[in-house]
Amino acid sequence: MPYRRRPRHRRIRLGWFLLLGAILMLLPHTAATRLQMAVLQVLRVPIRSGRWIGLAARTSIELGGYVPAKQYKQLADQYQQLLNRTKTLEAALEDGYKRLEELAQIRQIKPLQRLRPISARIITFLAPTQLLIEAGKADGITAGDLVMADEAIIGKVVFASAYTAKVELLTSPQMAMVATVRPSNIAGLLKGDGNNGMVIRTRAPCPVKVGETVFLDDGPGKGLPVGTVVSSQLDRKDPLLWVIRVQPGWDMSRAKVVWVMTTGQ
Amino acid sequence: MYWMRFVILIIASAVLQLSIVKGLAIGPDLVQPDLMLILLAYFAAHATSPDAVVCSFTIGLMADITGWTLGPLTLAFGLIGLAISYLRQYVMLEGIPQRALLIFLSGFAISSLARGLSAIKGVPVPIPPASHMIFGPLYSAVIGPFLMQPLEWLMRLQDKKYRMGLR
Repeated sequence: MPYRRRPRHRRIRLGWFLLLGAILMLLPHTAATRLQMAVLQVLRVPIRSGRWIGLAARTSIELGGYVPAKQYKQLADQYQQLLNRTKTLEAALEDGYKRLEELAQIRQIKPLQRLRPISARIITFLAPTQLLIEAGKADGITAGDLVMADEAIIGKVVFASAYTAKVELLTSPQMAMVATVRPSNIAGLLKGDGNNGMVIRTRAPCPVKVGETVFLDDGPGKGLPVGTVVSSQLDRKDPLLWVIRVQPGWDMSRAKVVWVMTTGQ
Repeated sequence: MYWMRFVILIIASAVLQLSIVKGLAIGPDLVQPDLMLILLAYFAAHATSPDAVVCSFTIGLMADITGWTLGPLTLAFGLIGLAISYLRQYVMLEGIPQRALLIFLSGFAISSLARGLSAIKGVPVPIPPASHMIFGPLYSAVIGPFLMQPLEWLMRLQDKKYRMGLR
């Protein structure tokens, strides 16, 4: 079968293409960019794969070529170890920054400026209202030192051994401290109820309302908030007394570190 | 002319230009070879004149799509491709040195023209002038002649049937 010659009209083609070029030249830049993006969006998968290959090729060139598989595995293991160590150090650094920040905030509390704060990790809860912390006499801690967390007084050290100390929380029934409810300005003895709460008993009737804040009025922590009033009502057992229930201003379930406010230098 | 092959070739070249070729970039200005320029030199030097016009403008359009705006490269590639297809009637474009020189000179001319047209359009060219007009074409000229043989295997433009206008 003979081949058929195709007609070729070069000038007409040239004219059409020049017209196309002129139209593209007149196209606004924003429209041109949109058109380019649309085409590149269609081709994104091969372009992305190719870029990855190009990058890999470039990296191997910078490394100076290939390395044996065994050496590669060793290097990969070392790299993983370094990565893990970096992550651990970063976590420790972040923890350190957090402690520094807490310390700075404690330093701004006026009544505590004369005291020396020592940070201590919580080892365990001996009871719902008792903590064992990882600091003791060797760090300068003595029985009676105040303990803080979440910028609030949470309790007192009741016993200190060489490297550990036992802390009794304010929610313990064995703890009692003088406190004042503000702004109604009612003072009373704050005692723990043994169940993650505190109670102030005072003479009835009492103008304290729910939402008021309770401040310590005793010892070096005088003036510091300890919690918020959640109920204020007549005592059912004794009509002469008024019961103010206080919710602590801290959350021990989240705390990992506490601050012991020591008096030593 | 195998037009389907041509279409696949320029799309593949555009993808390669945006991906793998970026890995070949050298120097602080990241100078890279221009596959579109090499394709233009090949098609303009070996295709018949009417086909050379179509190929040059199409390659220019693809270069524009992967470039900074639409228009300047289409016109620059088209016009320079047309000039090469005229020129080859008087000058032999066979052999590696001639091909390298062709790629470099056409690259220089295209970039100069494209910069001028871009200035007329009012769109700044994001490539430094030296890398765009000198080092880029030079890099393309170094590797371009070696890519022309595989291109010939694929497109067979020096085939007799094609030269006689039978394919």
